[in-house]
Amino acid sequence: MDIGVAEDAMHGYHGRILHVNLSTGQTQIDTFDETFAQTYLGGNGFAIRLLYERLAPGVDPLSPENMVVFAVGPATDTAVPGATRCFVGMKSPLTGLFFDSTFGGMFAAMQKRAGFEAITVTGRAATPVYLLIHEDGATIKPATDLWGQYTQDTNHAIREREGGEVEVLSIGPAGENLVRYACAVHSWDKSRDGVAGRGGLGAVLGAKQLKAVAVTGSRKTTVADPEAMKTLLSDIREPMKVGTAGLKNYGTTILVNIINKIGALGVRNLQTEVYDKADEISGETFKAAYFEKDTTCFRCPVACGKDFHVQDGEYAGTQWKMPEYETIFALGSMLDNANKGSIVKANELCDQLGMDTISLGVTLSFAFECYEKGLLTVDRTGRPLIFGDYRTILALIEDTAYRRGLGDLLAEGSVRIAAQLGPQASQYLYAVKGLEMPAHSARVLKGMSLGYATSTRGGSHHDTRPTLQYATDHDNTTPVGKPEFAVHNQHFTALGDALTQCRFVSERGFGGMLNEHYPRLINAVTGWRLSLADVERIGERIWNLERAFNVREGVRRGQDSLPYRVMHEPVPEGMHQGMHCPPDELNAMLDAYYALRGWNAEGIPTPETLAALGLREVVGPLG
Amino acid sequence: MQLTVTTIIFGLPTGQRITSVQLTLPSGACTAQELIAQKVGQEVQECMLQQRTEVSGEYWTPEVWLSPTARTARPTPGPVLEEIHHAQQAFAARAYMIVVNNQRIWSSDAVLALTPETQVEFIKILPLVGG
Repeated sequence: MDIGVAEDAMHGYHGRILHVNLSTGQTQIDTFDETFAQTYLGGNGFAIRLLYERLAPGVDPLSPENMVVFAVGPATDTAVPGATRCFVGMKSPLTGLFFDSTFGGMFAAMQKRAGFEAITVTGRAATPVYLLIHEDGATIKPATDLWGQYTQDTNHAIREREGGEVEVLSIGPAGENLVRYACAVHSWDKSRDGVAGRGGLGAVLGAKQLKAVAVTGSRKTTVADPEAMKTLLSDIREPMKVGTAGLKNYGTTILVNIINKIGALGVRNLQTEVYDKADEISGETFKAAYFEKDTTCFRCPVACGKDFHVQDGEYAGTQWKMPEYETIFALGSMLDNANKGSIVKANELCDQLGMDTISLGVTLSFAFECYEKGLLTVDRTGRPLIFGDYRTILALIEDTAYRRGLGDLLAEGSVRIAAQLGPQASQYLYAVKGLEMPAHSARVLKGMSLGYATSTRGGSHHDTRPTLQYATDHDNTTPVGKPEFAVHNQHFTALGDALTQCRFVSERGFGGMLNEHYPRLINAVTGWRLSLADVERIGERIWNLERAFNVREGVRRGQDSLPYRVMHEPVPEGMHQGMHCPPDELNAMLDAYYALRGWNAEGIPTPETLAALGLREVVGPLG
Repeated sequence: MQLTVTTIIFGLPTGQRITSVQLTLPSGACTAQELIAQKVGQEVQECMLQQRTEVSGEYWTPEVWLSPTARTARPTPGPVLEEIHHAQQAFAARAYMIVVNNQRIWSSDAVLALTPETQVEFIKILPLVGG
């Protein structure tokens, strides 16, 4: 790749990309210039650019050929609050498509200090290893003694072994056992841990026999215009404070009661969306019962993380981080589990074993409904699967991580299980493009209906954000305006991911759609003179390149779909009783969405669209 | 006709806040606009009689609810007609919802059929982030 020459020559960037091949043990450092930086910005932009060029279509995600890209951006390790996410791009073993998972904590800032905006990892080590990334490149170190260990123990062991300022991300037994939704966990001892939860990064690393990645360094990121930065941060301080006030006190758990009240909280695998026991697992109840202390990512004033200490019941003594709203949905209401202590315990198990709580919980709730409907029987499951049986839920979490008994099936994810159980089972799925869906109703929020169908990740709420859709001045009940909303919100999220910004801080501080704050931020860091239109174009470019990757893997209009239940079974009760997204409505939204995007009727970016975004040569022929 | 109206403010740093007020309505049929007038009027009157410390405030802005000095910054009720007008305008701007028996009311002119058993809720959702 000819991407120019730069090393610490730009503000906001060190201009270096590190490539590591675990099969050969070789490493290489490339450099990139300002043109490359202005075109893809960083984070997911760098990740998709590298993956598109270097990963051949059709590669098995669990093969040595799959590539993992750890990427940060220009604002990472500057004074910009919340720009501390690390983006990890790869081909997902759940979806077979592009995926970028993201995590907070301190890792991203330390990666930046190592002087690499992107690190690619390919190949497969002969025995378990971990990577130590430093300013001179990478050292591959043995990890046979760490194989089989929990994530937190692994992170601590490596930090102790390496000494000094080292940040670590590791996989647990689930990743080693190739659970398709295995995750990777970063333990930042000073405050908030980070989990690259979604998409199966843990399995991809496990397939490479890569137990962990550690980073260290001391390079400084320079900012072009500190005064402009100071003014911008002053401008966003108050809206961020007001907009995150509830989040600061309760974390994302504050959403439980709100979303249940509007009748949009999935219960018993989406059989209904009103939970009569919601208050037992609400943020207010959790905090009153278990709160120990606030935690925060590096340089974030919000502190949405909380540490919990279970004080009652059979899990008394459990000390772990707060389960997020998504986890309470997936391992709580979706499984009709209102035992709050068991949810904290389940969260601990998932983090330590290294599994995505959303995909796991939704897969379990799917299996429980299949059992309820007689599609799974006890001779196959080995035990009854009864909604609300939290002891069985906890046992299955461990079985899944180690692929024991039924766990071996659950480890494949709900879509692959449905393929084994027959067509009736597919009616109970809650997944898009192989990815189990999160806790923002695809039936109640029309913007989410289209957002899930078109997300490059599959069933993810990370793009086409629910945040603005919960506001009372947003009409969630009509498809009118949703294609425009989805397009522009996806540009906002793609740009935010390239800046490695936390959604919470960016949405409430800088704004939930692209606005002048964003070019101000980029220009203050880099010294460039980008306009709002330029910035929107970067988001659009990244989104189209992600789509092009998926098109190359076979995605067409038919995959931009929604689960059977979302399209055919109206919400049975509550404030949004009767709502769903019938196929005709989805198709109409897709027509409008494709037209706005400059894609053809099959959802393929046209040559003209690619040319306008400067992607024609990068992408090549499509479709 | 007697009717209980519940106000829920979601997203406060102190969690959800639930208050209620008892109304005496001239009849079981009224518009959303009239219901707002009855509700806010009753709350202001109760404040003046020191039967409650403040109105439910669903029509206040998020800044009033969430700024660091929120408690002291909250306005004491002005004249009844002013408060009602403020609340009706905020409803028209969709700054809060009215939900009757689990059905959201979208229009100020919607005619509501109310009985003493009808569940009436005024719901405000302060800025949040979607998980």
